[in-house]
Amino acid sequence: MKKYLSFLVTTFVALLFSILFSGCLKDTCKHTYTYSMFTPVYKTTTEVMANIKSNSPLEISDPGKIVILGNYIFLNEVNKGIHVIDNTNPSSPKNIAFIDLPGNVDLAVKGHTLYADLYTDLVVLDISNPLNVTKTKVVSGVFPQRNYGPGFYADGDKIITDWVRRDTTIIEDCAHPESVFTTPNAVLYAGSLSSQSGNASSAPVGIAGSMARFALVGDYLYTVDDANLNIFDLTNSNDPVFKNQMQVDWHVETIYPFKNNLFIGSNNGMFIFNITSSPANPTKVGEFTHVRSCDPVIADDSFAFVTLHSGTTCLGFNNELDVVKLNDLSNAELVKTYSMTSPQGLSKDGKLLFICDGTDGLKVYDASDVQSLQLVKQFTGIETYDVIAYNKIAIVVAKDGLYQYDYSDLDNIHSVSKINISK
Amino acid sequence: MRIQFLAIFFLTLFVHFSVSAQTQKLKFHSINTAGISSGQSGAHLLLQTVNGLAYKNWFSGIGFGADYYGYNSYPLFADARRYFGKNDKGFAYADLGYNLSAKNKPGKEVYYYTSYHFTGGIYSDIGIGYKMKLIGSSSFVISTGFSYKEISNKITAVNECFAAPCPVDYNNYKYGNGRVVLKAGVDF
Repeated sequence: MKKYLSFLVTTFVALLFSILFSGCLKDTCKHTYTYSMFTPVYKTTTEVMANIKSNSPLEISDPGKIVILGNYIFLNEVNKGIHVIDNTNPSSPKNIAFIDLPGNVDLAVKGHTLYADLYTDLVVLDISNPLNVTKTKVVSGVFPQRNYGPGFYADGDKIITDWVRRDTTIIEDCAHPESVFTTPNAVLYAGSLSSQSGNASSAPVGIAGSMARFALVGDYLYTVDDANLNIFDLTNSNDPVFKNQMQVDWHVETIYPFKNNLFIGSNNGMFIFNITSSPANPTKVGEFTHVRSCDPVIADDSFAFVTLHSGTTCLGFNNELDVVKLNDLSNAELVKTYSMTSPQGLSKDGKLLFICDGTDGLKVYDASDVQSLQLVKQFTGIETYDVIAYNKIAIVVAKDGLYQYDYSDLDNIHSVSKINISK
Repeated sequence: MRIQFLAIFFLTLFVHFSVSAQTQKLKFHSINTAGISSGQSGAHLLLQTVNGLAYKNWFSGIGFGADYYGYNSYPLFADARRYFGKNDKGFAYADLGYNLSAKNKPGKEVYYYTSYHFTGGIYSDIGIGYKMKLIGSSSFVISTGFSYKEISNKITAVNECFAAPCPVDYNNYKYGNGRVVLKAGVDF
């Protein structure tokens, strides 16, 4: 009896103990995060327009899209302008000028003319002398989706030329959040456009990377925004005329021209438009859909190569290379999928396929047999973003610099130069 | 810092028993319990094994468990208990250690992420219990107490941008769970 009494007493004490601590029965969650608040720096439109010319070279700090034409590399400095790099000697490229173009993210080059965006405007530049670039035309308001972030609006008299960054650390109770979705005050909205890869017309066309959103074919400039394909007539190369707009899909990312087809990559798939019969009114001839992901695309006569990567607001969790058969464009068919780390830009020259695989660096494959890609060379230790392989030199935009690799000898693909990025 | 503290704590225990073992009679015990932890997040399973040495009416050992309250974790801790009452059937215990994170995924409070990394935090438990003799030297053990554990999650979120590399946000979530624990098991 005493035994059970003792047990009951202990149980009672235990219950009392639990009640005493009941005030401490709490789940807490402390959320610490740091965000950057950007305050705009304005210049008058007159000042900005007057400064669109070859200025002193700047150090590369935030490289974006890239186009090569002849011995020159035109490298976008995101939202700032375009670096002009003399690449006559790939082992010793020279950063010779910087064209100030606030809000610029995309570019295309044809002959002596460079087309670039300046927020909502399309700017036409004469680059016949890269050291003395001049503005020839501004087509206003053709990229309306390139607006500013919340609280900031395009002003007829002023243009945002820079942003002053201020980091702020916030601690909040995430067990009982009051305003979880705190929005930085002024981050530039996405939307955007870009550069392109070439086909022929009378003037040589600059070769762009696979992340491009501008494409030049014949006398037309094709640009993609978040949902649409925009067509400009360049019959007079210095006077682009907006001709048409077609809805493609949501979350369009890239455009790649090959022969008479435009390959457009979106979060949801690849769309093929033919421009043979009516360049100003492309006809959709095929599509290849995939799981939602970011997906640059390139193509050759027989296959399209699509890289899918996760890790951004494109959502999706796939990191892979899809090879798609193009024998019948109306029935583009997946041939093979290769697993990758975080593939982004890619380029193909002959049988060689170059893939920027994020933190896994640059991968060079022998793509003679698409069913069995053979890794020829991999450059690790760099975080790569986009690549153009042309004339035995692969130009690679990476997190820490602009690299160039000589692949004239497959057994000895090697780095020839690097322009460092300043941070 | 916490790991260093724990290392010193365990080392002290080890030295204490090593010295004691030279002069006193020690007895090995393995206390294995299952139970529930109950708090704002409901009631969840708790499994523990504590192994150590008893000396007179003192016991000290090292414990390891699986804790499914909140984010899953594996607490590794030092346990000390003092027996009292008639035949030393009642006891009070205290645990202190490190709460190792299990393989978790971010919960609803994390609305966007690119990658995540859970790390552990402090683990503590204090309470009282009662043991009843079973067969031989084994006993049935029941205890209740208050336990607090921490776990952290470092979130990386890559923002959309025009061109890589895109800006990255870093968020740190630190979770603390205070709950009542009720355990029952066998002391061999």
